[in-house]
Amino acid sequence: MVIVGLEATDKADATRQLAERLVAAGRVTDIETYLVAVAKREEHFPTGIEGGIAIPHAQSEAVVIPSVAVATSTTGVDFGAEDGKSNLIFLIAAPANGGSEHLEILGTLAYKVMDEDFRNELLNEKDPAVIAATLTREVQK
Amino acid sequence: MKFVAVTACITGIAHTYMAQAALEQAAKKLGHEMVVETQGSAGTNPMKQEIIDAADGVIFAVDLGVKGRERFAGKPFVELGVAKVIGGDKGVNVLNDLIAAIEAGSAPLVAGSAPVAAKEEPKAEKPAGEKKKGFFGGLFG
Repeated sequence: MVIVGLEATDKADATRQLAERLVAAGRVTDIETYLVAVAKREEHFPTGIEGGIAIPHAQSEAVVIPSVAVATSTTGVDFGAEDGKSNLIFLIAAPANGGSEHLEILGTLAYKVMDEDFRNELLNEKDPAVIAATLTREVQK
Repeated sequence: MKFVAVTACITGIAHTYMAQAALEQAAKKLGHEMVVETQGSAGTNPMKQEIIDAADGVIFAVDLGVKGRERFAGKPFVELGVAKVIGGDKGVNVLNDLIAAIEAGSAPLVAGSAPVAAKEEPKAEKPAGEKKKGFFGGLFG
């Protein structure tokens, strides 16, 4: 569920590519339902944030297990951040009726993403397995 | 100075916690204290009334109503959308503006009357170990 060097035309494309990973992993059942929820939340206000991050997310009945898919992108994807494209994208999927402790893990991740050193560590890493391990380690702290 | 904040976003999954991080970082940068109560999908971590009572100012970074707003009654405050504190120097600017308003005596005060004493002890946070036990291979499994 980690994509290194994502190439995407726009945020819908980027979100879809990441969501496909969640489907492949059995974490999201219906990709269209989930993507509609993500797009709807993006409409509220876009999730691109200064510093090259985007954190699209949604709670949906199509989500089986609280999950995150991550992409790094050298070209970047426009998620509406004020300072340009996002190079580090976290797609968060939460079930409609998620257990709170799992949601807490997602919250911990969102919290950590605000740490610049943590972001740089992820951005500079080329091995998807190491990225997954780094994220797991950090949210377990 | 001492500040308290409440963060809450529509889905309660990501921005609530990103705003928490942003406000904590802003306070650290400016040499102030900041305690943040996150009102998210994973639940709320109500802060002790003593902490609120000792605060010089309050930041409500919320897209929803603040739960237990009366706890903050009488405190100088600023209220704005959760995204307004996330990214770049936004959190720092918001805090600086609040400090300036407090010093000028122009900050609005939270309406109502504060509770005399907290009758209920806030629910204790579960220890981190227990909280996360059994979750991984969770997010990346």
